[in-house]
Amino acid sequence: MSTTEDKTRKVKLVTSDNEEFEVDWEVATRSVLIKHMLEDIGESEEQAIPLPNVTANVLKKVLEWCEHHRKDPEPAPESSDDNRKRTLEIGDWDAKFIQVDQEMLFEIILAANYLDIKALLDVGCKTVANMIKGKQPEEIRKMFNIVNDFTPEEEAQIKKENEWAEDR
Amino acid sequence: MAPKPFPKLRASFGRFKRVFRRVRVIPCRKTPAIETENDDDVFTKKEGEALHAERVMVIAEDVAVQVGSGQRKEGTRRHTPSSKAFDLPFEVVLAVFMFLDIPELLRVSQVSRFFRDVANTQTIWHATLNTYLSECKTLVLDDFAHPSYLPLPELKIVLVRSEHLHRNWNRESPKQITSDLHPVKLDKHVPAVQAGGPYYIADQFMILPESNGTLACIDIKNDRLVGKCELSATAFPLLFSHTETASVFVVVTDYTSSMVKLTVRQAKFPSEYPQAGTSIPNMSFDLIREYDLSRRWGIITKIVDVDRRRICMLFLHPWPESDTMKLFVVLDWNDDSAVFLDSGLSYKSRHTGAVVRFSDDGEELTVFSEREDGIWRQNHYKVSELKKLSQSLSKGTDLPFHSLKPYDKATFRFADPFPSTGLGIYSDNVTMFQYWNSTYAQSWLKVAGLRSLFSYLYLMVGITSSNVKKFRVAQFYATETAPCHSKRFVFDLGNPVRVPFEGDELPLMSLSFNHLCWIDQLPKADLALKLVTFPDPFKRDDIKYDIRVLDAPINVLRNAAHVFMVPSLGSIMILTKAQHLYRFQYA
Repeated sequence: MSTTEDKTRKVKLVTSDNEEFEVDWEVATRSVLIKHMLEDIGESEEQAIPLPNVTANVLKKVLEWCEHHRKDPEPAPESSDDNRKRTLEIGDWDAKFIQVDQEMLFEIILAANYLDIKALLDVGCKTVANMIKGKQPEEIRKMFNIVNDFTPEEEAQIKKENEWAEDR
Repeated sequence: MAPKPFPKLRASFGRFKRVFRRVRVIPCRKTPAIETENDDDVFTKKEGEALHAERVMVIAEDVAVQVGSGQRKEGTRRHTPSSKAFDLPFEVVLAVFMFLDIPELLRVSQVSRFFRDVANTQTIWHATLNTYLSECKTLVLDDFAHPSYLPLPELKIVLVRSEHLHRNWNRESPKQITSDLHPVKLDKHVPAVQAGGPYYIADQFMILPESNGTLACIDIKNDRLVGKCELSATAFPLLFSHTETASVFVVVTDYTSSMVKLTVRQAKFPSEYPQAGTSIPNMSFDLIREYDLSRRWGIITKIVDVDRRRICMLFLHPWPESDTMKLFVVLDWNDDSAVFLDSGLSYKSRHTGAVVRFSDDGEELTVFSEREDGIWRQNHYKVSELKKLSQSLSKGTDLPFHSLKPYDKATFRFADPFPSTGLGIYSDNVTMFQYWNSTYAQSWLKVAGLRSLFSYLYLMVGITSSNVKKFRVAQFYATETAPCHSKRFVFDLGNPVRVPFEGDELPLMSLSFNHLCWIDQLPKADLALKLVTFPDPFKRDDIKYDIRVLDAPINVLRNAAHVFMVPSLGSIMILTKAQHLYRFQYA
């Protein structure tokens, strides 16, 4: 794979709702999935890459992120994944970017997960983690529309086990 | 036996098999109706539980339709948060939970079965463990258990207790989790315990130094004396627990009338802790090695690498004329290979500090020494070069001192932490005592990929111009490459209760790798058990500390003869003059 050609190369992406996007190679390859697919099909092909799990309005948003982060250095392999993440801070641009309604937030996270864009997935996950922080179980259920499926006995048991965490 | 490598864990997003989850609906359950902010939600809290159940089913059907049709209408997206059932897959929720701390993990596991299952994965708890170890936080864990091999439920308990301890001791008024005030009566086993002596305390067994020097091993659960190691009152033992062999190594230096004796003993615990009531085998302190050294050695400090069977001793020779540090390195006590070195570094007893350590990979030996002008010098020696100079000790210890050129040298300058008080480290009216503790204290921390740290502590005892005795502490961490961070952590002990020690007196205190506790005398004859947690080893730019007062009954404090800091049990213990042992539990 030669890097000089890559700079000018365009990549075609097709969403699940059949919209076509043409983007720079550098932008598209923020996605490890797309990068690997491009490597598989080789450079000569002008083939469009189908993304059956992403809709146009989500991909648009994801590509906006990729465009802004096109020059970011590659993340160090295996960096800090050994430890629990310590910081929940999000950069200014990313924080603004991720100010979307909850459904779009989840769609972006799912797309970042599917497309394998680690840094974007982190931004999304941090946002959700921030939403969870400091909230009681009932508030979390309400926020995400989650059904409490514990039996009353289970709930009492699990609450008892976790008592100390509330006793600050 | 080399420690097994610590399993490397990573959350590999996108590589997990996708787990498709169905919304579980239990329509008959009695739960309070969920309030929603959705304006067009027709159900309200007042309409009762029957309606709630129905509503839940509606949501579930809605999801089924969405999943089935594979496409959603644009118009339905702009809803308020709770309009759609939660449908993030397992690996994404896992990625989110990786950002949560322990109390939050426990809270989300109360949300639903799915959340509980995600929060209970090995990945999260092993990552939490790695974070704990890399931050050198103490684990509330038995000395002979290795956290990597604990089953998940046990690992979780260990981490939850550790987090509890950490938070408890850092809050304004730490609370005991139990207040059982029935002491263990040790008087029939140990008549009196030596002040400032080394000890080993685990859940069942403890090794305590008697005032005549003998080490006594007591099985607390069965209230029995299980072994004794006869040592003289002049002996100075160090105790090292060793996970792989479930034993405690006792390394002793002892001045006799004609020589200094260095001995290595091993005390093995039963591999399975016997239950109360069953017979317990006696514990013996088996002699591994014994070296007779010259009487003219003034011993400063020693460190031991039990895994590699190495000892490095710092001493002045000839004592007391010389002030340059010599090194005696036992490279392997199995084959008795050893080397004597002249470091060329100076040392002034009770006024300057000295630090010695083997690197984690065992390839290097580093010696730091502090000069009175606040400059630290360090010498690095390669163990391979020491090996070339080594000789067998089997024919005696009358071997020549080598002056090996260190392969690396450096100097560090630190400001006197007490400027203009007249009680600085190097002033003449201050006596200094040096203590050290390392992450090696919990020997399982020797796991691949983790750097070990040594925590050093200077206790400075000075007399002010108004003839008041001051006790000051400066704490710092030593790594392989530097004697300490550019800042030391300094605090005063106030007016501590004191015990006699080698013609001097020392505060009634106890320290662990990152804590120190002592008994302080307050006005009106009141006493307080105080605790300080040392700042994070890697974030010492903003050094601040809080001294916490722990709740302990005044009558126990009044009769206290010894304090034992035991974070690995989540406790602080106090032994009274009547040899009654009280255990205060904080996790």
